[in-house]
Amino acid sequence: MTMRVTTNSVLKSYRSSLSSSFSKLTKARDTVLTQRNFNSYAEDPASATQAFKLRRSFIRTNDQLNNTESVLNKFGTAYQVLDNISDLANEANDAVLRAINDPTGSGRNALGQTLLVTADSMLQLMNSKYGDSFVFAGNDGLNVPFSWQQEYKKNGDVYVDKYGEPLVHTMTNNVTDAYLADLQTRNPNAYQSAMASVQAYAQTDANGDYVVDGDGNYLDAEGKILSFTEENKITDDYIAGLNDTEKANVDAIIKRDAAVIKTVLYRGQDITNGDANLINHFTNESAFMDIGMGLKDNELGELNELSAFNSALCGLNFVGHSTDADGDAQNLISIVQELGDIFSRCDIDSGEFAHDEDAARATELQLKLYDAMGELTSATTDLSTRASFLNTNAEQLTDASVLLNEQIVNIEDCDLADAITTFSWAQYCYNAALKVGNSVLSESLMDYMK
Amino acid sequence: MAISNSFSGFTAARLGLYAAQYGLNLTSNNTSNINTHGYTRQVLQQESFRSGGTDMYSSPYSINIGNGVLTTGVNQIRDPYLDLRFRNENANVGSAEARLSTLDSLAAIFDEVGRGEGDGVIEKQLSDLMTQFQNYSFEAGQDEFDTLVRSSATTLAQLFNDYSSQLDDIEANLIDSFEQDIDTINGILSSIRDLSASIRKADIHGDPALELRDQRNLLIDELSKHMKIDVSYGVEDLGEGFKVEKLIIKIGSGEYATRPTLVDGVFATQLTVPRLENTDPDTADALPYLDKDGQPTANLDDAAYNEHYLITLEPLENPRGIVLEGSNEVEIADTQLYGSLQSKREMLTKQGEYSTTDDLTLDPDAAANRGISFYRHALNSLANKVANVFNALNVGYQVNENGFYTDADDNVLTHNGNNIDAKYLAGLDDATREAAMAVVEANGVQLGGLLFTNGTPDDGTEINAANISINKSWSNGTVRVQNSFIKPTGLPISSQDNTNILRMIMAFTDKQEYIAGDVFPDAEEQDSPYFRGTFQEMLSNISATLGNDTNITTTLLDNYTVAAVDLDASRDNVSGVDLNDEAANLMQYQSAYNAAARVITTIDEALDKLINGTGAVGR
Repeated sequence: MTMRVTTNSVLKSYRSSLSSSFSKLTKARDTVLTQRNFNSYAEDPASATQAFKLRRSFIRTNDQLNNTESVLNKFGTAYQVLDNISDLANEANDAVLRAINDPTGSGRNALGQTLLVTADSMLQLMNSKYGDSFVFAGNDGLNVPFSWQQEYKKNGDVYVDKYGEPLVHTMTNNVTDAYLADLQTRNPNAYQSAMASVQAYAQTDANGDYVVDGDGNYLDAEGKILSFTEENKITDDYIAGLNDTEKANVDAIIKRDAAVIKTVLYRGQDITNGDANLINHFTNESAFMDIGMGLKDNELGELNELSAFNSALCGLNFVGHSTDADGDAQNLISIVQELGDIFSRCDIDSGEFAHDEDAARATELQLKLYDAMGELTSATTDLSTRASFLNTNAEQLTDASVLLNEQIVNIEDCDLADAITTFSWAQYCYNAALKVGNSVLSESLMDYMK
Repeated sequence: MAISNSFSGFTAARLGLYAAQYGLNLTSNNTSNINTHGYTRQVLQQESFRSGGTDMYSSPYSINIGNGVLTTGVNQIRDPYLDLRFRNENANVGSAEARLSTLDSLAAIFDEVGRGEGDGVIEKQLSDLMTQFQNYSFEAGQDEFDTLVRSSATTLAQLFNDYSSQLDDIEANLIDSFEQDIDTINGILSSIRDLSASIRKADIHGDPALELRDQRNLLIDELSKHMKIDVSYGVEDLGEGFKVEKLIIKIGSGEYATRPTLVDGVFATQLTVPRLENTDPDTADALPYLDKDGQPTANLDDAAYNEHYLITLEPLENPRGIVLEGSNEVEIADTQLYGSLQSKREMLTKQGEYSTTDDLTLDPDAAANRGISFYRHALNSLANKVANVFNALNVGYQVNENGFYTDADDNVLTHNGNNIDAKYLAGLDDATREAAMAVVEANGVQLGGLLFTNGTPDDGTEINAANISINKSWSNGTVRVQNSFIKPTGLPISSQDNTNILRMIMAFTDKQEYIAGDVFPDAEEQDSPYFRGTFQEMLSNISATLGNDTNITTTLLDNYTVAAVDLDASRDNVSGVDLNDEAANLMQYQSAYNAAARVITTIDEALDKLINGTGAVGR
């Protein structure tokens, strides 16, 4: 006996089946429209989890690629700067060699001026920026790394000019008792000259006393006020005793004529004779970057330095620091500066060295300049090697990024041919279900009753 | 030989006419109700009628012929076993449907697949925050890059706030739906009770009340979706040997002997969900209830439901309000219900790995059952972990270039003659470490500040998804991302030392431990993490847990629905009206009617011969 099937049960089954068919069609359509294998975690939790994991890696890889490119660009800027400094140093070295060996020495003084400008240029180049950060400042890129410390040269307490001659301040005063007493205290030699002048020219009265006017000024035979011009070597003590007007005059003389000693500072520290510990700290500073070397820390939370790339560039490692065995500065800029000082003291016409020892010192410094240039070349080569590593790393990261993207696409994106075929089949099934629907309510016995 | 009654044939044929007429009427009724929802096809009960009895003197040659047909009643065709199976399956459908509905709502928040151009929402924002830290590591100390990190962190905090707010909405909607279900179930129970009373009355008067039974069956079907029920029919003895049928509905899950009764004849219960009562002796007199924030209130509507939304059954009452003798108020156990109501209860109360001791006592499987509360706690855990990790990394004490803690004058701090650094601290027992840290805290230089707060400036305690905010001090520049704690001796902190930013970048790939008790003090698990992973892995874990739950529930619902539809169709095949059947019945009853009429004509003709044609030979 067959099972009884009622009209309404057929309809209920049909409705349920049609709904199921439509649901499959909708899902197949969604797959085609979104071109994704799944549109929710619930559809495929494992693939969704894997896809997000890959996307994280993809984003991180791109971050690392950006970091690599940023460091590469910074290194590129550094390389250009160092290239310029190297050119300047080479030109300076060639010029110094020519000047030392030039029998006439006609251009030595001009060369001296040029070398002083070169030293300035080198220092300014070492203060180059990439973005808003100073390239050669280690990990203190927001502050200017290199600066000059300027001091006026003195012989003992006395300010001297570039030839070593003391600076003199000439001052003319009316001769009075007070002036003479003051002069006697601060400049006995001048006092002697002043007294000789008084004795020679001052008017005396019948009692042999010097004639003075109402203000106490000594008068000469013609009744004019007697004055005395004194010459004083300029020292700090001397300056301290002057009135404001004369102080201004003396400052102008110092600025114009005094020899200047320029010392290179790195972050405020003397790089030649400064604190060795600090210099050591500067040259070993680090600014690590995550460029895909497996960034990780130890149990104390300290970075494993092998897992990151040190992007810090300390200028001292390129232009040199501290002193050599002779106690001389190894810093390229300081050497050029001192050569500039030596040559700028040469006679402007004859080119004669100002002092005999200057010639020997120039020869000595040229050799040290050559050594410093070698160090610069070596450090630049090291920079190039690091940049080359970064280039290789960037290529690897690019490849990894492409690979990750492919993996993401493989997991997330549907095979369109398959999706469209599935959709077409679902559409076909749905259409068939609709067609069947027309005949679900088939004719019954009722239709054949007369 | 017995003498036959000449006119008995007429009577029999007349009864045949009546029966056929009833049959036609019944067919008409069935056909008319072919589309009436819940209608059960009716059949005419007929019995062969014979009068007289056995005569002790009867001759073996006597012939007893029946006297026609009697229509003894109209019955419904139902299969109780199919009803039972359908209602069980309907409870499965209700349970899975209600669960899936809430899971779908949760997926609208947590399922980030395909959103944010495929990278997700919070997932993407966490990646963006790391990208900003990466950028900042190269540009350490630059204000604009600190601002970019802060902007990204602000967006992240806002997304956490938004997710939490959406969870609030889902919970509020689910509570509304739960309340409506309680009202609906109470309405169904009242209707079943009232219909049972009407059917009982009809029964007493001999009326089968088939249409009322159809209505009652429909309500029982509806009830079965809300809760699994056990339907049986007993007998009520009205005395004098007169008995009527009595419907009994019990909760159909849990231990059989203790299943509470929902309907017993004309008595039915009502469901209530007790509110939180204010048991504080100081305020108990004034305000009897507590609201959801634990504040006393006098208004019942404002009062929060009991923590586990436990349901109480009122004593069984008849329509006149009389309580069934021996019936008491019953509290339904946490796991005793099954169906859509229970699914909603569970989605409101189950906390999965964040279950309290109380939860686990009520339901030993509570740790594997995850409702809205679980997802809220999990989101809180993630927000709390993100905030705490970065806050901890951004607050510290100044160290020198060798890692030793120093004072404001760069002097190295010592403890028991030892220079204090991280390695030294790590080698100490807890008490000694605390003493050494006290030296650092007293003499060291504290740097940095909180990046995230709970909404109150510079307060980093009890941060969760709802309150996580950017510290106002960070917004106004008082606090910044601390790029380094290293102050080289004699020098200021290097402007672009990025050691601490690197630690923050590493925090994104560090495996964090998520412990339930960290964000939910009442959770039973206070020590062991239930998940270890990065921030984004935790987010994936939440989404994957939800995805798996949804996936399983969807599969179950599909299966249950197919089974329920099949069973409903099977029921319809038994109880439904079929046009072929009815057409055949029409033909059958029409033929029977015609035949009965023909019999009358034939007998009439026969008798006519006897009466008018007999004894007239030769006329």
